[in-house]
Amino acid sequence: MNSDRSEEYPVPRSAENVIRLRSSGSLRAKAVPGDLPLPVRRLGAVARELDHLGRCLDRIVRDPRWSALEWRATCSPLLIQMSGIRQSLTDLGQVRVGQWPDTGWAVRFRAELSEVERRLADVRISMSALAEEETSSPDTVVTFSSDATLLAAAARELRRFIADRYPAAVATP
Amino acid sequence: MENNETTSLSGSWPPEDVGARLAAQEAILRDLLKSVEYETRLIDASLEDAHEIAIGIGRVVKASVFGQDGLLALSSYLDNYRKFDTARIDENDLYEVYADDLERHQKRRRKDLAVADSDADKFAIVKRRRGYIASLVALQVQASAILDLLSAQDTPVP
Repeated sequence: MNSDRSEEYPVPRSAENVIRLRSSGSLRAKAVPGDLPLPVRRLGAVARELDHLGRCLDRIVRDPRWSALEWRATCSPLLIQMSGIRQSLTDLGQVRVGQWPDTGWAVRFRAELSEVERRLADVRISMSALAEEETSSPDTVVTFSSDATLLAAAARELRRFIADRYPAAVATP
Repeated sequence: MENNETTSLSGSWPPEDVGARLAAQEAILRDLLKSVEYETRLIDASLEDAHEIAIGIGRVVKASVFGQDGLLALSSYLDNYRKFDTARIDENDLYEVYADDLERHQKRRRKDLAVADSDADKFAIVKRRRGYIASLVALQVQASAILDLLSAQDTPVP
């Protein structure tokens, strides 16, 4: 976090036509944690959701099924997790470059977030392919497993990224 | 997205705020460019934000620095203004092309991974991305030059 550098530059009394400007850090110095576009505790909550999603995906990938019925049963918890995480990812979209006090962090965060969104869309597609087949073909199962593994990795990476910066928020439920 | 914290719709600010606003926006742009220097693909997810920052800089410079009652007399700094405006227009044009290509690439990828994963498709995006980042660098350089002018104008820009 930037230190408060919002004091004005001293202007001699004689120089009345001089326009006084605040320091360049003044805008960003305003962005103390309480003023963040998204509360840190919300970041922490989403990080924990991402952790649960990763675990759920791991469980499913470890134990592949071969019929649509079995897949539907196995993927039910995942479907519930995925619908919750979609809203959470929308909330995370409030982390914007130019509005978050640390521009570098926001740039990387948005890239990590975009990766999770992309992998989530892939899993949604491969999961619906599984549900459509009466008996799952090896190709469909492999595609789903691969997509699910990549989503789990992306979710963990985003979670780690949040935890590195805001460890207390992630640790406290 | 309009960030009222860093821009106004017209770009017209009270004179005492102009230098600080411009300096803050220029600093954000500089930080953004530093963040993507070695991993240019990172900018894909912040493309809209980068463009908004560029728009914000353009508004402040046009309206409050070189505009009517601006801090600098346009007639005295015509060359600086033209250089800045060229950079601003380039950024805008390259943004449109890059954003369009990126969106098309993402749509194609959803439909057919084989197409989007082709080297030609990826290379096109890489080229657009590099061109866009170069336009942002040019804009940042011009914004920085204008801040130098403001400093030289008895105006204590930090």
